[in-house]
Amino acid sequence: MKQRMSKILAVVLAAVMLLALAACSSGTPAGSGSPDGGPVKNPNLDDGVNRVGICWSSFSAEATQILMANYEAHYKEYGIDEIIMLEAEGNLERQIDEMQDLANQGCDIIICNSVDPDGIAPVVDSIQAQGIPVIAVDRRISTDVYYTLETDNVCCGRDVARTIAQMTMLDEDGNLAADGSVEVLKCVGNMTSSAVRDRFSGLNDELQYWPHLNVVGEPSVESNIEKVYNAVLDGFKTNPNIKAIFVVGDNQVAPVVSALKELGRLVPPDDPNHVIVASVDGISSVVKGIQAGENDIVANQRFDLFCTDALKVIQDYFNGDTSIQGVNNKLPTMIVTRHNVDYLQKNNYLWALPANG
Amino acid sequence: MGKDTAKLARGPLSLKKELTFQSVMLNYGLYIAMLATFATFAIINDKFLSLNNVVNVFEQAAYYLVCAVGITFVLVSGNNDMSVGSQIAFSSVIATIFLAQGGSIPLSMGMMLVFALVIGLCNGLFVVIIGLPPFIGTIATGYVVRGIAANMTKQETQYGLPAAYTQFAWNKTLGLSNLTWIAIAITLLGLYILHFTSFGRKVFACGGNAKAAEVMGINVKRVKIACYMISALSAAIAAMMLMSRLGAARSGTAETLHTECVAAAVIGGTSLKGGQGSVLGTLLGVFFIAMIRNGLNSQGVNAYWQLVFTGGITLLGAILDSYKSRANAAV
Amino acid sequence: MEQKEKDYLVIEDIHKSFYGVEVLKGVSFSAAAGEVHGLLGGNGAGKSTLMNILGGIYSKDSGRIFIDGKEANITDSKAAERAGIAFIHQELKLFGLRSVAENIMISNLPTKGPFHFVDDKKKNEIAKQYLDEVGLQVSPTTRLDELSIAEQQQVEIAKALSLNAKVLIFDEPTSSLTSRETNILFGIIRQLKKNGACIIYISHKSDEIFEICDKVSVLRNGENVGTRDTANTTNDELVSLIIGRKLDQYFPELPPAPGPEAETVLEVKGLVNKKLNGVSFALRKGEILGLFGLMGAGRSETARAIFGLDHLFSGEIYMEGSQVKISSPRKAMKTGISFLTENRREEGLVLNADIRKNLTFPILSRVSVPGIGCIRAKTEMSLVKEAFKRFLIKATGPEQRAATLSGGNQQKVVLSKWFMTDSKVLILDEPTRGVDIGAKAEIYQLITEMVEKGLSVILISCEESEMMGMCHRILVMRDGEIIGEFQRDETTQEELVGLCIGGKAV
Repeated sequence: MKQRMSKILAVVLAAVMLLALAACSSGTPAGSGSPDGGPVKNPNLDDGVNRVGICWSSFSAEATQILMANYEAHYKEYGIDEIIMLEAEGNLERQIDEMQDLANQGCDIIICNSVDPDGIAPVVDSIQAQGIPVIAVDRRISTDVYYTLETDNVCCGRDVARTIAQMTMLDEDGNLAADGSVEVLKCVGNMTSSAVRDRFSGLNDELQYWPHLNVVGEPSVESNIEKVYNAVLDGFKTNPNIKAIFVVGDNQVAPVVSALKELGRLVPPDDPNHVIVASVDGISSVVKGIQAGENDIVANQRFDLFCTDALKVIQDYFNGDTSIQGVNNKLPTMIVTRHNVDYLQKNNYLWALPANG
Repeated sequence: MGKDTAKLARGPLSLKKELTFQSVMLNYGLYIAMLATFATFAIINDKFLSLNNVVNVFEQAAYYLVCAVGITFVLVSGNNDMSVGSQIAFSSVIATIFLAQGGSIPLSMGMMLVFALVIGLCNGLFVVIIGLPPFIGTIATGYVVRGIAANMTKQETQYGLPAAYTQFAWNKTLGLSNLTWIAIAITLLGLYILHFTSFGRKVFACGGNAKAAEVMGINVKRVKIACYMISALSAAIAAMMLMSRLGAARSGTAETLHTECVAAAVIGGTSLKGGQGSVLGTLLGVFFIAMIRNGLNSQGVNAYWQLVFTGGITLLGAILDSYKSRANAAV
Repeated sequence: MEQKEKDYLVIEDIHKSFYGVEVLKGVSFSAAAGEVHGLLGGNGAGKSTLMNILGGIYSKDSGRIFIDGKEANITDSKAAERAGIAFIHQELKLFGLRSVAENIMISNLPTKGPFHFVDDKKKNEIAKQYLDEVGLQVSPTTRLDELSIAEQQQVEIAKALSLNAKVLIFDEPTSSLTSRETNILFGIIRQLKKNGACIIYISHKSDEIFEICDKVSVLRNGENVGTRDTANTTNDELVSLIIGRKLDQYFPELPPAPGPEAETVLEVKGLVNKKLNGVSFALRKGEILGLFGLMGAGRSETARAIFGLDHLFSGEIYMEGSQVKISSPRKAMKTGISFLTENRREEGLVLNADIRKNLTFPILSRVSVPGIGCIRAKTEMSLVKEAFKRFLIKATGPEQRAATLSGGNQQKVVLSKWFMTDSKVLILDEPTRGVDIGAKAEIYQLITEMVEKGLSVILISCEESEMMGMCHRILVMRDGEIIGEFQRDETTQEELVGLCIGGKAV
């Protein structure tokens, strides 16, 4: 009996290996749609429950935590019955598995913040081929998705540059500043991220239109706190007259402020020796810093809209309106300085500092 | 000898008429625990036991399964191989760099297999010939290999795999993903070799009683080294599967892979002392762990609690195993 | 049998079951102080279980135990110790790495000072007293594993004395001893007897029972089938009690001895290694050649060297006339030599595997497809079934795990495994050690049958009676050399033993 069984096994084995080889050359590629050529029907829509899956790269950032809290607080208002929120803790393998799990567990539509825009593309394709739409939030995905919601980072960089220019336009006497008289230190971040690249692209473009601005240093800091700190100290050694420092993310503001303190240049905004600190994101410590006068400009990303806009799109989907398909919605940032911070906070425009917080 | 003695000699667990609570718990306790856990998850989440989900879980566990089958050989032969995760990191990184610079796919696969054989031989050298305890010997190999990978890539993720490679994982044949088929093929192959060939018998002998195996004319050293090479080869194949699925390679990959594979094997009945085990058991073990992870994931349980859970299941399996052997020995 | 006084140890109607299988079915027996009471019985008869109950390792299901007239409640080994029962196990339970004194005093080490440090001086002094009582002349600080097995056993006896044991149970104490050491042990036992201890002596060697015991009880299938005074009974009566039937002949009739003109199948010349000082002999086809000697004489070492397990410094081996170089067991098997080692549990069986696998390990190439290695299940099964039939292996089936077989059946499995390799020469090292009398007879019969079919056998054994009963020709070894050669009918047991101990070489 065992002998026959082993013969059968050998045959099965051979068959399986042949099939595997065949699959190499001619598998059914993902995303081919249904045989009749029309769009594939979403298999999860008819189960009577409007379920949304959220798969985030990591829950560690403050902005993300507030965003998740917002999703949880508001989803019911948009006709959604259930949400499942998962994070991949920065692990691409895990995120791929989680995306598949969400698809299999009845999610009608999935929001994805990818760990790796290229790496996540195949599984996203596979899920969409099943008819389940995927929405990319805050990070693009390298394949066609139902809807992309992100910050317009080019515009963001430009806006920050323009704000720096306008804050330094007049010299101490109230005259137009001379050409090249305002020295700027630009701390270059991790350029592998498309968001970072876009911000610098906008910033650099805008800077060239303002003759009084002069970039005197471009140290590469790769968002490393220590490097930022040292870059500022070094920058001031060679150029003691730096008037403005730009960092591409809010997590780099704290070391800049410490370095300025160390140099004795952390002075109130009306002091002529004040150094302008400009950054992007809008986390609570930085906004409070603006209120305290330690840093000056922040381009506030619209994490609030990341919640409501996405939920609205989902609500439309459930109501049968898919006109948004294929749109890449780039949200502008909101420039926050000490001139408008209290107003913005009072009117709940700041996701990091709600009005009653 | 009388009938009574023969019954005594058979051992309490094979007394067919005797369905005491004890014998049932010892033999089937693990399966009962499995069923109970699945039932609980299924109640909480009605999609848990859907065909779609189960197939999906299998696909996610495919490369674990391939690795675990390889490790089963090493465990049954009485050793342990802690370097499989590092081997995966190493061979996937090297192959990705090679392919990103335009190398050919078959050549890259050949390279990975050759590296695997060499690393397997090194493991065999340290543990079998020199006689280092497997724990030390294979960890050392692992560190060296992973260190080389980390150095080469400065711990950055490597991209650039050709489309044909990455598409492979996402294509389906006859309704199952290609990776699933590969896992099935490797499992069947492993099953065949371990349980139906004379080499497989020798592996059991070496693990069960190496001295006796030596006396019976089995070349124990050769068999044990061969097992290390088998485990290395299956790690290489798992690396290929991982590369295809992720489209990238990273020197920090698969850090806890070894523990999970050994856990799966132990749950499936493989003894860490050697001489006992089965590929089907390992398959069940991998499946069990993967389903649990899937169930926990769907409830949003974070990764650290999942480790606790997996650890608990492994303990349960090991404890039951130890009770079983004690009960058998008591006669 | 009149009992003048109440017996010191009385065991009454003990029942014990394991997992629903009744092992002791109401055993009763008693022994007086100053009496050596032997306990005989085949494996599985219940001797070990009964003694384990006395020693507190198992608990009885029902029945009573009385010590010195009072009922004893023995719940664990500590309670047994308190009741004055000491168990000298077959496999000594001592700590090899610790000193003799520590082993003796381990349960009640003397301490000094408020922190209760161990008082080494006192410990060694007290230990020395007990060592003197058993007549062991070693320093109490010697590390235990530097002593011979016999000496270690004496340490264990000393330990029993230190615990004031009044009942001493000896379980197969001479299985690792040579004749001379056995005599020393008997001397100790007689001394203990004189001091009023009650001694239970478990053995399968009936000649020992006759020598040292006053009474003997035979257990069979969990019952006491008879208690006799050793002075009033015979070996045959005991054997028939043990087996339950009469055995006419213990040793079978050997096939005729091949004469000097017969073909030489194996010849060794001048084997030298660490333990061998130039061993040379020749084995004829169809012959059973015995290798006799004390432990350490070099018999097993000779076998291991021939089989390629131990390295040879110099020497030549010839199989059927042509020289062969044997560097490993595999090479040895290829030239047609098989070897049954003396320790079946360590080197003979893969205990966790089932009988079928154990039987076919050495002949894997015969049951598998050449090249691919796939096991031919049909071929294997038929070989296994034949082995079961021919070698009378008693088990539930080929799937039973080797670990759960009785000693005799385990030995039969190992024997049949080697018999099936179809080798020309089979070296058997203590093939009947730890095997009950019934199985022993079967094994002797099997060996004879194989020899009739053309197998040549080298038989290594410590039992003179076995040598005389089973061998055509006997070689006596001492200190790594062969010091005497006898034809079976030219010598006696006494002469063999005498030669070992120190007689002149022939």
